[in-house]
Parts: sequence; structure tokens; C-alpha cells
Amino acid sequence: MTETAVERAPRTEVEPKLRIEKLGVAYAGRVAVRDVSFGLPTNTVTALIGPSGCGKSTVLRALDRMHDEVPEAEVTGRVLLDGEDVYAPHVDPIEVRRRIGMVFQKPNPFPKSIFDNVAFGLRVGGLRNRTELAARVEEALRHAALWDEVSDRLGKSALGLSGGQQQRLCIARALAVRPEVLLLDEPTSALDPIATEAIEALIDRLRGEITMAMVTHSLAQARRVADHVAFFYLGELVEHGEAREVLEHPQDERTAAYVGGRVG
Amino acid sequence: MSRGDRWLAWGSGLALAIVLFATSALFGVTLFEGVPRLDLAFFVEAPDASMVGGGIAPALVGTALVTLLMTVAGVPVGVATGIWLAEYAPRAGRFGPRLAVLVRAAVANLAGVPSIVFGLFGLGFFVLFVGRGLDHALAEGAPVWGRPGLLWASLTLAVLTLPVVIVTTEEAIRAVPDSLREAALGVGATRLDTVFRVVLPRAAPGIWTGVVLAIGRGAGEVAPILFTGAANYLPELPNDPRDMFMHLGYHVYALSTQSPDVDASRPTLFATVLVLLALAFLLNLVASVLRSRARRMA
Repeated sequence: MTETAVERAPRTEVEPKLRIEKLGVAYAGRVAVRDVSFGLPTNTVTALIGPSGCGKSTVLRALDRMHDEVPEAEVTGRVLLDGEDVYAPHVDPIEVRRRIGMVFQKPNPFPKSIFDNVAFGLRVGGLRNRTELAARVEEALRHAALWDEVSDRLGKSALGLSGGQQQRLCIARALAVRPEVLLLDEPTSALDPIATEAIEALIDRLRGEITMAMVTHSLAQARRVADHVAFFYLGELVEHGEAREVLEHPQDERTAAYVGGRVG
Repeated sequence: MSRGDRWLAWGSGLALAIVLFATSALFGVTLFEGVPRLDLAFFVEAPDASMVGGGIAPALVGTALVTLLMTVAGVPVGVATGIWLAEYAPRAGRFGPRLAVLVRAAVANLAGVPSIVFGLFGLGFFVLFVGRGLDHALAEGAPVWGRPGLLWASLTLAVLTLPVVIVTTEEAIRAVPDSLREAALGVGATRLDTVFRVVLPRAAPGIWTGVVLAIGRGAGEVAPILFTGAANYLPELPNDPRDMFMHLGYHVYALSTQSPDVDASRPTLFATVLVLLALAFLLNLVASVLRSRARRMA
């Protein structure tokens, strides 16, 4: 199964914000993802879809070098951010993660105040000035559509927020360091429908400002928010292109089986 | 009720009675004989040479000092080892995990060593090897470093309590969910920032539990300080870390075996035991409060 994925993105000359080339990931020698190549066009939303355990999250985590923290993980291939490989020897993974933010499946706020959560990335980045910190925290919270709900209790613990608010707080925390790319790993799978709607509205508002890649198990969600869709099956990228094309007129029979609800 | 149930009920009742009797006998005798001897003077005066009158002030001060020095010397090493085992060793290349296995085995063995062996180790290593070595190097005439003293006793106790600190620290750090580490790393925190700003604050109650347990263990041990610094009878307080000192636990031993008139010393003996027990319970109480706080956070 090494045939090339069906590539249906319009062949424009514009370089994507993030270009993934022949990406492979193995855990302790066992291949999880092989030969994945596609691009995240600037300021759009790309949904990574496919059945469980087919490598979507593995691909996502490779993009901001989170596998560096897992000793037995081995990454091959290239991930080009503005044309520069984030795996090049001289590149600092810390710097990569500042430019490529990540939001995880389960909301994971720190057991600290709302303010300290959002300010965390700024502080470890060396920002000390109180006025500037406060301004950046407000900016991020407004950006994540959470400011109006928490502006009067910034000093209170983040753990007192609802699940949906916590996830928007995590998005604010990621946005605070002004990343160029935002990776979302099933950001709504732990949330109720109303909180999910709020997150999707937020992603929609961020479109045009930031390049996003989102792993999702929900085809409906991919239909609602994605500009592009990448379909993964058994560790390989099967089909990639404009959302409507891939979801409505899949070329590969595996894609067709999945979006048609016959596999999942 | 079946016959098995009845037997079990009787058996449990009997066991309970034994435990209650043992506990109340221990406390009853101690309280009955010790309490009448307790007054303010008991806490602020030095014992007299007959070991009948006077108080336990030097032993209280000595115990506090040796425990404090032990904590200062041992806890940072233990916590650092625990952090390394939990946070760094698994990612330290091919040899990190193997070295961690060795360290864990060493710690487990250290925990199983009888405390009197620590006493002999302290005498052999700290007093005779390090101390005498220092005397030689500094060309001291009479032994200054190379004799039992507060410093060597504290270091010996520090080694004794290391396993408790290391094991509880490692466990507390492992209990911190990975999602928090990912959150920190995901916004560009270094491993060091992640450990100090996220992991350690979250693991703190668990680590403190270990520290208090270690203090409780160290404060009550007598064998390790037997040859390394504790004095039989020394009314003066130590004013140099190389001085010998009196110690509550050792004082109990001295009162019960070395007193010229054992019967006359009984009230003093039991009053001292009472103070020692109160101290141990206090530390255990603090430890369990911390532990329940740690559990609530998890």
C-alpha cells in the first residue's frame, strides 16, 4: 500500500504555510504513520479525518515536535514551516512550539489562576512587564471569545470553569504567544454540543488570521469548519483536497467508504 | 450467621481487643508515670548528673538541631534524585533508563538496611574517613573533625532518610498527569520550566508528605547517632556543628540503662518517652494531613 495519496488541492504556486513531506513516525520500531505529504494553506482550516488509530493525532503531534518528548518515537521526513524544516539540526523545538501552538483533546488547564494560565507561555518566553502581560492576556482571551465571561475573575482558579470554558482557555493560552499555526487535536470530543458550537464558532472566527489543522472524528464537524480535508487510513494519507470535494465526491474507495458511513 | 462468619467475628473481636489493650497499656503506663513529672522546668532545664532531677532541654535542642541539619542535608539530594528518576531518566538516551533501574535498586536496598548498620557506616565513613581525613589535611593536632559530633550524626541520618524522600518524590511526580506537561511544552516551555513551574507545584503536597515522614523517621532513630555524635550526658548545648549533643531517643536509652538509680529515674524516663511520643504523633499527623491534601489534588 504505497500508492501515492489522491492529491486534489488546487495546484497553485502559493507555498503553503506548513508543508509536510514524506512524514513517517514509528514508536519503538513499529510504524504508526508512513509517507505522508500534504500542505496546510495559509490561514485556512484543514481537518484530519479517519477512523481511530489511523495516525491523525500522530501526524498532528509531529508538526510541533511533540514526539521529541517520547523517547521511543522516531520521526522521518520533513515539516516545512515557511519553507524551513522544523526538524533541521539547528532548529530548537522550543522555538517551533512557539510558532506552532497546540490544543489537546481534553481541556488541560494548569491548576493556576485564569490569568496565570494564559500568561504561562508569555512568562516562560521571558515577558516580565506587568502591563504588557495584562494586555496580551486580555488580547488572547478576547481572541478566544472568553474575555466577557472571565474578565471579572482572572485571579480565580481555572479549574472552576466549565469544560467548554476550559477548552477556550486552553485555546487562549495557545494564542497568547501569537503562534502562526494552531493544531487542534479533537478539541471538542470531551465537550457537550453547546460548548462544541462555541469552539467551532471560534475556529471560524480565527480563519483568515491563523493557519489551523484539526483532528476530528466527526464528519459533520469537518463539513462545518474545514476548508480542506485530509483522510487517513491505517497510517497513510489516502486523500487530500478541498473539503467539499473530498467529502462529497471522494475519489478513493476507502475515503468513499468512510464518508459514506460504511467504515468508521 | 454461618459458623465461618461467627469465627471470623470472634477472631476480629479478639484481634481488636489485643490492639486496643496494647495501645492503651503503652499510653496508660506512659501517661500515668510521666505526666506528674511534666512541668515548665522539665522543658527548659538541663538534667542533673544523677539523671533524676532537672529537665530535658539539651535533648530537645539536640534533637531539633540534628533533625534540622539532617533535613537541610538530605532532602535536597532526595528530591533532586526523585525528580531525575521520574522526569529526566526516561528521556536520557539509552543509558538513562538503565541507570534509573540501578538507582532504584540501590534506594530499595538502602531502605532495607538496619539502622544500626547506618550507625556503623556513619562512624566508619563520616567520622573516621572524612573527619580524620580532614584533620590530616588541615594538620590538626588533636582530632577536631575526626570525632563524633552533630554534623556527622546529621549526615548519617540524612543517608538513612534518603529512600523515603526519593521514593515519595518520584511517586508524587509520576502522579502529575502528562496532559499538564504537554500543555506547558506546547506553548514553548523548556523541560526545566515545565518541571519547576508546572510539575513540582502540582507534586508539592506529595513531596512534603515524604519530607515530613523522613523527618519523623529521622527524629526518632537512635542507632545511627549512637556512634556518630549523641552524648550520654552533656548539659551544655552544642555551639559548633562538631560538638556532641544530647538527643531525646538516646536520653530514653541512657535513663533506662545508665542511670545510677533506675527506680528514682522512672518518672523522668516516662516523661521523656511521653515527649518523644508526642513529637512522633505530631509529625505523623502533619504527614497524614499533607497526604490527604495531595490525594484531593490528584
